[in-house]
Amino acid sequence: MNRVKSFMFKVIAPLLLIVVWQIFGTFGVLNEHILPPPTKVISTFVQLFKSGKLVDNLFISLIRVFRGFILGALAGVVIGIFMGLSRPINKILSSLVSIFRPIPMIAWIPILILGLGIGEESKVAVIFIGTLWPVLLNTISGILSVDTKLIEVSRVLEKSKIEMLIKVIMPSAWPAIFTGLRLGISTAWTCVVAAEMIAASSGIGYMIMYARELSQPDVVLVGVFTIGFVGLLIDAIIGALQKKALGWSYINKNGR
Amino acid sequence: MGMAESNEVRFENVDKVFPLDGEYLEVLDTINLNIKSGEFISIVGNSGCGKSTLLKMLVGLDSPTKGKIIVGDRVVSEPRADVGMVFQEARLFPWLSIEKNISFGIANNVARENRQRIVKEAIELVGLHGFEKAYPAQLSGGMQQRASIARALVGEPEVLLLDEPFGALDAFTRITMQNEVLKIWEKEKRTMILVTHDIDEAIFLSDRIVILSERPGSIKEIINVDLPRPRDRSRQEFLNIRKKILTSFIGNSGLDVEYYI
Repeated sequence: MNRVKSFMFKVIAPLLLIVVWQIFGTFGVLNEHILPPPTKVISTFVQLFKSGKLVDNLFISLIRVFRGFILGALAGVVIGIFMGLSRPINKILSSLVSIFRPIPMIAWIPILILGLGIGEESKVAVIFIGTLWPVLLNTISGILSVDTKLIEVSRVLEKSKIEMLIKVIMPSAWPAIFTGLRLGISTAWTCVVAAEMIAASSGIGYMIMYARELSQPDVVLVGVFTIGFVGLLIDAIIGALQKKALGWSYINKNGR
Repeated sequence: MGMAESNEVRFENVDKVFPLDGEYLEVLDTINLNIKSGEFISIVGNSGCGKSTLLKMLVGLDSPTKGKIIVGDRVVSEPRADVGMVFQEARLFPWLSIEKNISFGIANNVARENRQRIVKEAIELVGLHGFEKAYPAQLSGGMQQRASIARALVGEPEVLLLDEPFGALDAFTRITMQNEVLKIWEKEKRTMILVTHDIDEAIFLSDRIVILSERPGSIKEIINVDLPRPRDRSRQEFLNIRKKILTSFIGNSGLDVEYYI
């Protein structure tokens, strides 16, 4: 019962928005050539879905995201572990991080296109950079957050440095790393669309830009909403994975 | 008997000084103490007298400024599994079940098939049967501390240090835990060194009680407790020893110590 209620509360605002939008559209308050009503967007969605155009473009974008995300996450976790464990490495690299991190992803795109061309590499590289920062910073803070009291316990039990890393430091860091991965995948998803809008001949971002050039606002909106839903879905999947892998961190003080 | 000799603990002229804001804080002053193998020793003293520091140095997490600490024939310079420690907080790994937390204490060279049996025995010993799969956050403070003691025991240390292990527990749980520790000590006959500020706890458990002076801590008095175990906390001999310890703390300045108890 409570779950039904909480679900209702969650969907009420979007539903209301759609209803108002539909009413305004039907009564001609909105310009159909700029903001077509939901019914039109839905029929375009069905058409694009059936023709396979939407799925093809979505698939291409997803592949790019996963390639860039996996590389970025791997680099972020590995560099983060070293920076978290070693004060000298942290000192040496932290100035670089402070300089490069605040640069918006969009600003990288021109230089990456110049260097890597307009093919897959430049897009994967943008996503790589977008994923790297949140994963790196959260990994460092996760490693640093390890309780020194637990380190003392493993020292007293004469555990090796490697064992301490695997059995004490990494488990303490996982919740923070997962937060980084979650932030990273949503940044990656934002990056792919931006990169495809600037230079691409396929992908969901390309589909949106191409539809704009042809003045097809319904296709633009299908693309925009698809991005939103897929982003939501990816976040939900990572959230579920986190809950499964890190069940212990969800136990509250009163038991379950 | 030869074995027993080799696990003697010796403090030889141990000083400890902490640097603090450019000055030096003298914490321990010329500690000389021999602890026989299998003995139960308590160290009592005011807070800040350096009793916890004494244990930290003995386990190898800290080192003396002067003098040396010897366990068997080894001068302590770093932690070794032959000296175990139970801390004031349980310090369990929140991501491991009770079973796995205890298993963490077993030395790496123990074969896999033996590990399960060792954990099972330890769980029985500390009375945690039925909680093997629970996570630390699901247990009460007393049960967490039992798991922590079990983790220290499965490492089979020759010497077990207990740093105010029951300080955070309520009075009833504390008494239960003292009985458990006594049972374990009588069964396993390891050397145990307990730091506490609970005088009754010290008398109930120890062969000898070491009283430290205020900072810088030095050994003020060592009191033998020659009473048969288990000890009755309300017996006259028990109360006499308590009076003796309190006198050592407060001084015999004509005050009726009993009045304060």
